[in-house]
Amino acid sequence: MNSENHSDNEIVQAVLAGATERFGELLERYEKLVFSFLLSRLENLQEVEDISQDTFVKAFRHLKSFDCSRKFTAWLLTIARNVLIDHVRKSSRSVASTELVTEVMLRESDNEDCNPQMLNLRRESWRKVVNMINTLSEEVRDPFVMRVVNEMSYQEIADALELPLQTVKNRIFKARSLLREKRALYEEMS
Amino acid sequence: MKKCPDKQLLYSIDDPELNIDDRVALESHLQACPRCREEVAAVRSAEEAFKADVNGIFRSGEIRKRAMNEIIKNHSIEAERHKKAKYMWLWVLAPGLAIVLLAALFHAVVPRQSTHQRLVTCQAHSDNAMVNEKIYEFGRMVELQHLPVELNGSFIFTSAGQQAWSFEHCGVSTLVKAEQQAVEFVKASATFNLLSGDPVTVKIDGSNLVIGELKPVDRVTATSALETIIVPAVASEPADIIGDIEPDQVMPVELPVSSLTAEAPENQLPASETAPHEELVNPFLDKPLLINGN
Ligand SMILES: [Zn+2]
Repeated sequence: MNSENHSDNEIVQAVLAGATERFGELLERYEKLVFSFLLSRLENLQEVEDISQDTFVKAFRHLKSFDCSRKFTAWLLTIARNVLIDHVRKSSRSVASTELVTEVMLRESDNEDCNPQMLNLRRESWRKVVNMINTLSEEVRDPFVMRVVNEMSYQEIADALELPLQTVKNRIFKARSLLREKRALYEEMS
Repeated sequence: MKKCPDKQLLYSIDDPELNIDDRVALESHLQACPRCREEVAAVRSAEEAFKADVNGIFRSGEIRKRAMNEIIKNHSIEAERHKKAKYMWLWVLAPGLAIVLLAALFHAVVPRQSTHQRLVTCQAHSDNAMVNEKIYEFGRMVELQHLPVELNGSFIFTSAGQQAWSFEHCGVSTLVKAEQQAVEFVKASATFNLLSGDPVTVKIDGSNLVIGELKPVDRVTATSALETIIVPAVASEPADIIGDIEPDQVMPVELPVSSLTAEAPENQLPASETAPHEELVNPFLDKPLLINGN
């Protein structure tokens, strides 16, 4: 994943030394990781983007407390989890009720202002993503999404999730098996 | 490999970590066995479809842009608060303690570069802005570690240190220095507009240029527009200190979106903020939110 020359730690050190703008490099590197990590945990896309943004803002604020012996991705995902927990607490809805979903969907269908075609495409993709994620059991989702969407190596995934390497391999295999089983269903939806 | 391999091995055909012996055996088996080939193709195509769908909803650069705007804005506010707190402290102590006053004055006057971060940032502010002839999309931060850089287009410079300011650069120039006390351009053919904070003095080809004061505006036309009306400073060679500017030269400048949304109540975001983020609801989410990673 780190094809650039500078390691995460080097960039963190540079930001801490005052090169604030270099935090943008970490964002560029990991915005998709955080986004896809939050995908299965939130009920609408705007929330996914908002919580992703908050994760990075909080990471910047607490950058001094980052322990360089730890992987930056693991630290970042811990922050994402915390921001998410705060968000769920604040919005005081641990369960997405059916009424709520219906209501927002109605509002969404009213919202034809900006490029309805694009909106429909995104909506369709979102539906398929959610459908696919729901075919996977909880424990296999993160490693699978990291592997497929973020193209991370098994080791990078193990580092980011702070799991043993073999556990990551087993979970990705399990995800692929589940996916294979449900493939016919998924293709029907597509 | 005569027998079909177990699925774990079969599914790992695309993984670069697979050892070379397994890979060779697997590939030769796949050539000979249509059933395994089909199995691999099925998993692969499902994964590709999933990836394409996630790419379809992920707006690359969006989170980066929004987070960096927020970070820079918070930085400025923090610095401003820091500055105010410092003077408040001075105000409390001054009446009784002359020595402390002197010390505090000294503290306030002497620039402490070494303890302060280099807090000048520069961000592309239009979609066709170019840095060293490379396109920088809106919101991208300009690397200030290795100067000079050639700027072409609209860029926002922000300082969040002891002096908090932000100004817009519009046009072509070469940026040679970007420190809080010294922002310096050469070969500039650009306009500079103060967006917020204290007037900024920059150097253009060796001469000082004061980037305009926030000019009070006619109360009848705009009572709350003080922050958005600026006096544009135009740098053309030779650069000079800007004097009085006619009212018709005063033009409004749009503040960065982030600064406009900061104080907006959650449910009353401006239309421009809400429009692009259509609400796409997870229609399948009818169970507790998962907040635990694994
Ligand atoms: Zn076979």
